[in-house]
Amino acid sequence: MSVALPALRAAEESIFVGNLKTFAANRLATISALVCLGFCLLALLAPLLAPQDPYESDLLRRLQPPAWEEGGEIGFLLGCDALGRDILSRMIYGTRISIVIGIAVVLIATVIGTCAGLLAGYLRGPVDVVISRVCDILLGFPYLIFAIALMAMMGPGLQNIILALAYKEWVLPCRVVRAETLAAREQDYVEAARALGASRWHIMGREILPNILSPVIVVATFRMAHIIIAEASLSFLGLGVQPPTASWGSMVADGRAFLLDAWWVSTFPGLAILALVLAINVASQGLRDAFDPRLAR
Amino acid sequence: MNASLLSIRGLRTSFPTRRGLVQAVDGVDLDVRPGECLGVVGESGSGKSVTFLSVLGLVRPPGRVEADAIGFLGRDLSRLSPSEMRAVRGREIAVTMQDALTALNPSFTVETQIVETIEAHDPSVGRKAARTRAIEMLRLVGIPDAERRLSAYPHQFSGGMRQRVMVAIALACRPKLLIADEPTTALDVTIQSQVLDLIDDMRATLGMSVVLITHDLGIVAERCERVAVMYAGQVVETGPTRQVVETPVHPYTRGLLRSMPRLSHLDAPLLPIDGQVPDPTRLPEGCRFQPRCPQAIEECLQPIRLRPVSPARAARCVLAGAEP
Amino acid sequence: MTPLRLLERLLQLVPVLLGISVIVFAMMALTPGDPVQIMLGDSLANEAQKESLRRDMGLDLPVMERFVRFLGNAVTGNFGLSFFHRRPVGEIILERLPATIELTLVSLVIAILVAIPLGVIAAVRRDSLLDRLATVGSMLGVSMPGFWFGILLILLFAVQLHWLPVSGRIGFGQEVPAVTRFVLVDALIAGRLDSFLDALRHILLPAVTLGLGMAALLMRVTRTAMVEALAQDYVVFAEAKGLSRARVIGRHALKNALIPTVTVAAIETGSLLGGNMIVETVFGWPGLGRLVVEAIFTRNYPLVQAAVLLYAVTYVLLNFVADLLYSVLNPKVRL
Repeated sequence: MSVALPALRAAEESIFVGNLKTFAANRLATISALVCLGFCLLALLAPLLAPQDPYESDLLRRLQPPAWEEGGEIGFLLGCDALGRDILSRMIYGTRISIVIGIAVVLIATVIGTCAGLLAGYLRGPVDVVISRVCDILLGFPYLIFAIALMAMMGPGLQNIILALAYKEWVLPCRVVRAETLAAREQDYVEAARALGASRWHIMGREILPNILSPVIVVATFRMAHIIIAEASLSFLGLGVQPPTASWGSMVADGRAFLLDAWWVSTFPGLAILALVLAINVASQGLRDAFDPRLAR
Repeated sequence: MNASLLSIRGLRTSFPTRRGLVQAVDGVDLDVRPGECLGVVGESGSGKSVTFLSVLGLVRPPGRVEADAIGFLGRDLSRLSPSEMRAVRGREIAVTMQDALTALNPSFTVETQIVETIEAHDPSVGRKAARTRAIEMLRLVGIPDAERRLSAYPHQFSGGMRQRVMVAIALACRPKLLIADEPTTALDVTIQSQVLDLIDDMRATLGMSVVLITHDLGIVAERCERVAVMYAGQVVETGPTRQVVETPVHPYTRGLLRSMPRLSHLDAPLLPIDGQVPDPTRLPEGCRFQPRCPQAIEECLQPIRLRPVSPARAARCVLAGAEP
Repeated sequence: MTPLRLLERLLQLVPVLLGISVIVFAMMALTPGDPVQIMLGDSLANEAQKESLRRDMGLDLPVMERFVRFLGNAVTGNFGLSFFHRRPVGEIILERLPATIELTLVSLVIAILVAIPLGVIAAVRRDSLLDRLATVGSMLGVSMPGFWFGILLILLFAVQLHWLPVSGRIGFGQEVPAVTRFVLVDALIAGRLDSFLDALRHILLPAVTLGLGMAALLMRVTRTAMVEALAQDYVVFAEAKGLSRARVIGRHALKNALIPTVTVAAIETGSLLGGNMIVETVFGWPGLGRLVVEAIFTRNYPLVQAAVLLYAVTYVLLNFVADLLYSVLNPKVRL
């Protein structure tokens, strides 16, 4: 095994590098990936970048318009909300919620889903039946409603949002990994490892997993966009993080009451959601085209 | 040649690809005479199918077709408008494709697929008359229980029967020319000869000409009066089948003959042609076969045209005519 | 599909539906603390009242017995009393359901009318300007949070242009007697064209919000399926038969491309139900989605439970319908 495998790994690696090059050649996708990275930096450096304190309310600045409109101030570029808080600063802080929840849910779901999918696909039998049934049942709940119901029961809070979204989210990577594992276990390299007496854990973790990582990564990035919209939707309904913490979804909700006289309160945070989600979608489509042409449907 | 039914002159078809322009058909001249069966032989990628798709105007953009002339019954097909061309397709020149399973639409019954062809070319025909003609066609191609089978879907037929259905659709309007594109490749050996027999019968019954596109020189030797051998987008040798098979002039034709098993010389070794088909974006200079040719000489690097060898034969080789 | 096969597929739904019931039932158990106390909130109820509420809800029984009761009630449509409304939960849901169904159907029509023609044209004229615009549009549509899109529409068409109303289902004084409870239909039954138009103006923005979101996805599916269909041999053969281009595209290619499109449409209709909650909240649409959101904040758990169960069952059934449609449209699967 130790003779045959390094060659395989090397091949796998060069394919990986080749895929990365294909991705880099896709200019739109590369730009989108950089935009995503920009949002991450924004989240990390929020305290340094935000022009104002996002929590400091100043009733004199209640619903102050953006800087380019009459009554606006350059220090409060995108205007202020009903409590006189700087919208731009709150948006910059809001990046943290979206990014943290997006990454956390995808990480949890991918780890759990990959493990469950490997077990179901490789062990087959009763393990597969149980895992697949659970997947079927969870897929029986429409998008969002499951999370909304869970949030209603568990109550608001950052931790609960992550849990509520992850409870169902792992099903998608699980299904992909299961299908890939079913295909992989018939392949020569797995047969060879089995013939050489490798343990099932070794085969799952060391032989199959590295070979099916591409679709897992593709699904993970693709779902990140959905999760960020889901979080924003929960927050919009008032089921997400609680005030005064800034979240894009709840900021849009805050502005609903003032649509008639302060369009900016709802508009800008929504634009941020659109920008981030769009960047993730375009980047993940580029990733999919480069890494897994079979999925590029 | 005035006696020709179809006369292709200077046909060139190209496809732009990421790696450069592919000249899939490069200066093809071909004639099909009334009532004859012309075999067009070549490896995949030699341009034999594209040649006839081009004739029928079925090459899709960004593919480009140019021709000096495509004469057919006193008209030049290369100058017809799209709607005039549509009236020729299926009505006067019909096509059967390699695999009936993919060529027939899985979502429509056989009836729909025959009747729509008849209606497309004869809008005044009633639904009932069209249906009767459809049943007639199915009987003609030897489908048992034709009336009942009319309402079946393509996947409900066996491979051989499906191929017959496709022939029935193609011939529904009694065309003057049938282009049979690899009619046997997708079939079991036992069914292959049945389908070829059917095409032969139909040729006699309907008095049409047939172009048989295939990579199997054996089939051509058995079935066709004349043959055209294609290589890398060009016709390299053409003439009466018997003469070409017995005394091939072009080294590629010789190579093809040597690489196929023959009943008369079962003990003779099969000799594959050395080398590979050239990359279509980087064709060799001069004769396209020259890099693989055992008899290549300096002169082969010069451009070469199809040269007459005898009144009925021509070959694209500098050595042509020099040989007996 | 033979009746036997149909029965088999229906039986396969049973374990999934049972599992869904278990989860919906278990969600109640996730609520931290005493559900009765939470439901009563800050209201000053004495121990005896709490005890009676607990008994009414069956909270004093063992878990298994409670689940069996829950299941039995769910099957008979008895979801208990809404503490908040003082009426049976089932009755309240039934009352709100038509508004949600009406909105969903209109959204679906918009989605199909936009997505299928655009997807077909984009596929036929691949890489044309229109194809690119459609692709960009669908990417935007998929990335757009529904609630924000709804707000943008309100800002533009209601606040700025005053063309359409901000919220609600029908204007004051335009109400019509409820027959089918679908306002658009009821207005026609009552012969009130003005009410019909008013209802149409009310439903337009929420339906466009939901419909365009779905159209973005559906257009992609149509385009992909159509591109695939157009590359098939049967399209070349159909052209070789001398059929008109319209027939080759509109019948031969489209009929096959519609198979995945319709399947996805049926599944996505289920997802519209989730989107409904958001859009109904944005537009003050008096449907089930808004009812559930309100119920969450009034801690009306029996109602939330019943609605979630209803959503999930509908979703599963829609997926089943998608399967059925797939086999009806695809002759190869029919036998």
